[in-house]
Amino acid sequence: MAESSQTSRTSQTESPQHADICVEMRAVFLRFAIRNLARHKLRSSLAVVGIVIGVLAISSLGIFGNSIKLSFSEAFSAVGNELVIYPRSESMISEKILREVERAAGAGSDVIPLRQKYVRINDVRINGRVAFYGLRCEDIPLLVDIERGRAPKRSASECLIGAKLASDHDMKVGNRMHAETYELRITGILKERGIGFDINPDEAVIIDMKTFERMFNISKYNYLIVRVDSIENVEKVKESIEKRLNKREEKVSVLDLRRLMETFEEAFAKISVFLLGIGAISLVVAGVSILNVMTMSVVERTKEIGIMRAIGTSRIGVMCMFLYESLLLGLAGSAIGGVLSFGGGFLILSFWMQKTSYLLAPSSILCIIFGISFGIATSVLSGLYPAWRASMLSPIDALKYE
Amino acid sequence: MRNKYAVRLDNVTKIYRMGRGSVKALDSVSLSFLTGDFVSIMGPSGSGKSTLLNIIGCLDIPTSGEVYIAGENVSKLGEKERTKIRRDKIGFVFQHFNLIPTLTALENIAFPMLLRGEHRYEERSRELLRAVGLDEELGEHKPAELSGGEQQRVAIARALANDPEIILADEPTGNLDTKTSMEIMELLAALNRRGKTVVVVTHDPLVAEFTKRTLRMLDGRILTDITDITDRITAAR
Repeated sequence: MAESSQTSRTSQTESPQHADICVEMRAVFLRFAIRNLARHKLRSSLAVVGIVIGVLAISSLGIFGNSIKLSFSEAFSAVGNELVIYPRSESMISEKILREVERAAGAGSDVIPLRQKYVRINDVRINGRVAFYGLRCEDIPLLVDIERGRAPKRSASECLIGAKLASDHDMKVGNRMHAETYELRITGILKERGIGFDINPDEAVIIDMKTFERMFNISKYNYLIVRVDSIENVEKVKESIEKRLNKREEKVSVLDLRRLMETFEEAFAKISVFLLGIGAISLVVAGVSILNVMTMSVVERTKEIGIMRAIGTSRIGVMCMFLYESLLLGLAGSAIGGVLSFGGGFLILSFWMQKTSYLLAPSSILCIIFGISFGIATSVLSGLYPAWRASMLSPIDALKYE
Repeated sequence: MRNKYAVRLDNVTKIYRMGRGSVKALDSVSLSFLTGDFVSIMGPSGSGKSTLLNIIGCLDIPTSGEVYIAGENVSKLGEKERTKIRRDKIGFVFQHFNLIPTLTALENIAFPMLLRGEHRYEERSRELLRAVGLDEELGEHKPAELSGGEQQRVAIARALANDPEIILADEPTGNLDTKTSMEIMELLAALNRRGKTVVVVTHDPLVAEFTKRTLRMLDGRILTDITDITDRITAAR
């Protein structure tokens, strides 16, 4: 026996001493970490569950916030090339100003004048105030799509009604509606359009401009919509209108819908950050649970750490071993959480947005990636302190620990 | 060429702060162990023998005085350098065996080699397992599945992993029955015969019988230092 201590002397003297922790050692620490986690299966799984919930929360809420933004920009992308012109010096826009705007906007743009009034309707079906828009017959197809029926004829006592108005009050093409002293025949029902900055036709009635004039005795316009041929020219047209009309006196104010959308997008970005913040809190809680698990683990294994340090494990080695454990917890939790996030995102989207296609949008996937990396980072950060504490234990005291 | 002295202590004092007061665990101790010496340290609890062993083992640093391990002054070294010396020049054997419970016997033996970056750790661990008189099949067992004697043999194999110059054993037979104790001491004696410097802290006079030299300690001082002449002569031969 004991023969080998002589025979192997040569081999050890030439063994490398360069690195503090060699590759094999890392592999051993990794195996070690797995075994130590397996020693306390329940505890480790609970820590993983914490990270899973955290990642799930952060990714799903991220997807939710992102989808709100996406649905918003989708709904308003159609109006990105519109300017809305409101009267400034007077309460209404006159025919003269309309002509001036038309001239300033140039041939490439459509200028659509609108009249608007809330009308009290006392009918068999409706009892309440309804928005009436007056539009020139030729402008109607520019702003709205008709789902059923046809557009009203010029000057006729005919109207189009919004999709929601129709469904809420069970009105059909051919029905009649009483507004003030007039009787209007519904010739068509509009396609649902969503909320807009220019018009909101879903719960409104649209009639011909002449009919509007006759019914309410209004000959001026409430506002104008300028539809520019391309988004690139919006700024140019806006400047041109302002230059022409507001040189001496502020006659009109020009609202750039794109600018407005930018403001909204900023607001939505804030909502997203807020939602992510809520998710981050749950991840922080998960981090605290890892901190707890690892601290317990360090205390329990004090003696073991003492042994390892006594037989020549460096502080970095001990730290490395514990960091591997929290890294493994983090990787497992984040991976599971990441996969579940698709499910979580799907549920949230189908409940609140009724549209699940946003789930696979690149920005949604980014949220999941963000959640996963945040999960891993939280775990490693939470493991840092216990690992450091383990590495700073005095080997003598640790060896005495029972 | 090897140093004449494996261990040399020059006027070493160790004072522990205990609350407001302080305890002098070692009081101006000077000693030297020749390379290839086999030393037992005896003495009652609190006599300073564990402190002495910790200082020789580079686990602790003296309050004052110089410590040389294999010719190198280690009393002023930082934690990092002392860790390296523990890894490469010293093999520890403990009373409670102190194997790492999650590792198998072979992995326990391989551990110090891995710390060092030794690539031949697998075959060398098996060699060492055989060298301490254990069957190869025991290598795959976890410490909890081994008897006390077997665990201590594994611990000795681990102590030998990086072929250190000095083996430090703190009550290596304290948890073993007499027969196993004798086997373990025989194993340590065999290592000594192969050139290792072996230092054993013990309460047991029977254990001390195995060694060439016995130090008795009291109150942080060395009371007696007796060398067995016959062993010395054999060693010289």
